[in-house]
Amino acid sequence: MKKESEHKKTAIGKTKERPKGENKLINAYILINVEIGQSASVFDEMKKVKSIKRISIVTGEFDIIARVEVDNMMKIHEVTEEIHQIPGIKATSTQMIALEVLGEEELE
Amino acid sequence: MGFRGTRTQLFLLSLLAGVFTISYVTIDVFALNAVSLLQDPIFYGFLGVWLGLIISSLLLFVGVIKLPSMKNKLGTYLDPHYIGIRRPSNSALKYIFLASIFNALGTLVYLGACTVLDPSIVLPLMQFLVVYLIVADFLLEKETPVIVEVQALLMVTLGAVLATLNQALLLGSINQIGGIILVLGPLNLLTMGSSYYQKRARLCPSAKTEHTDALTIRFYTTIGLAIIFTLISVLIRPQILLLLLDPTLLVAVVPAALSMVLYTLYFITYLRAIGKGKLSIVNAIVSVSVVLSIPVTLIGTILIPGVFGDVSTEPFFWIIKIIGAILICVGIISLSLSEIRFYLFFKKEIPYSMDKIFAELIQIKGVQKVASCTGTYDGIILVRTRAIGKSYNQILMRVTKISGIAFLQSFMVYKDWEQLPLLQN
Repeated sequence: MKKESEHKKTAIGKTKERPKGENKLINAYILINVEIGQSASVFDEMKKVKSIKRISIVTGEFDIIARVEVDNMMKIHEVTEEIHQIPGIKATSTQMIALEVLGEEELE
Repeated sequence: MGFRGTRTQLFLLSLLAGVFTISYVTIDVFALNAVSLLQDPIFYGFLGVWLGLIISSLLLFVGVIKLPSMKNKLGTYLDPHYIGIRRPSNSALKYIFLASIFNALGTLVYLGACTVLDPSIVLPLMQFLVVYLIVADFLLEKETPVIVEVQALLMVTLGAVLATLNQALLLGSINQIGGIILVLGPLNLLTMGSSYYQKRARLCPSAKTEHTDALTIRFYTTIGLAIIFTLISVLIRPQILLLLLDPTLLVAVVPAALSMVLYTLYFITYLRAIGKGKLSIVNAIVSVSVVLSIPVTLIGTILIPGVFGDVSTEPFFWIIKIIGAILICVGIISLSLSEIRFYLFFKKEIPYSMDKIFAELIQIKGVQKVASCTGTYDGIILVRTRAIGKSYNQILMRVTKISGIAFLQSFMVYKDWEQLPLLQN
């Protein structure tokens, strides 16, 4: 019983916390499909987009998963616009993050 | 700042952390062998822990300084969770106390080993910790290792044997063999215990932030260490307090203080490095720098014979040692490169609570982040695991067993880039 309540506590305690002074409020994953043979060049171009924090080339239904961190909704629109300008991108789908929790490993 | 710049910085900082590690070990071995007052490892440790306390309190206070041109306090650049001087929560203090006990015993064993071994033996043996960590993982997770991991572990083990045992065996020195066993077994296990409890302390929420910062933990661990070490040393050898009155004490303080300053520099560069990149890469680079301990020991011994105790200058020993060190490096690099990441996208069944699913997900080893999303999917999980194979399947199995997850799709990452958090401004 005791163990269960401890788990509950840690689950709440691990919500993503931001370092002081940082004001990024909105996070999203952008799932991208690219033209055949373009993923490497799209990957390099995307590194130049300021609000993109992580880019992963993946196997499966999508080709690239990008993580975006911005301070307001308007910026999400701007980032997607900016991404759409990159040659080789076929389609994007944005998943807005409502809540995020970190696992223990992330806090090492 | 560009990506290339960041990568170079990560590399340089990790390398620097490695160089500082070599420097403090070298100074410890030198002090224990060459400074007459410090030949007693207990007295040297006693001086060291109190000097270490002074230095880490200075670090904690310097961390509060905020220069006009800076956005945050200096300490924030070392650890984003740092908010100033504060008392850790009771649960954190409990873990810090346990870490200090392990730390104090570890310091004692380490210094004991340094009296008989040279840096080119102590450092490669300390890398053996990686082997313990992975074996512990296998036992706890009941996970069978994949072939790459077995190869890497064998390389590290054989490397450690080659790099260290040959000299002791050929010289037939019982002391050295004893020292090697001390580092290999007790020291590594005590270090493992100490870092485990420090990690637990780090996960404890405190008054204002949700995790305790590394500077505070270091400060309180050094207080614990100083008190516990003093108690142990006075119990074992009460006469060490008389050594404090020795007229040559000032000469003896210099190497002890230098070693502690170098340890603190290692701590700072290591923290900065992990702020800039992946923990596994930083650890690999720091471990790889053990190779540098070989030329340091050799040059030291050639310049001042006896400075590191009984060291042979026979080329044969050194060739074997270099082969051993290279094996250790290759093993550690392949262990850190066998790490993989993947995304799991899921949809949940309507009546189930997302909070409950989250609570179960973050218990799974390897889960880094879980996000609840708007859009096609309800949630995205980012997973990191040591090697593809069984662990990947196990994680998938555990996720699918969680009630409420209706649909699961996995995306294996084969190229990854991350903008690093501390370089955003």
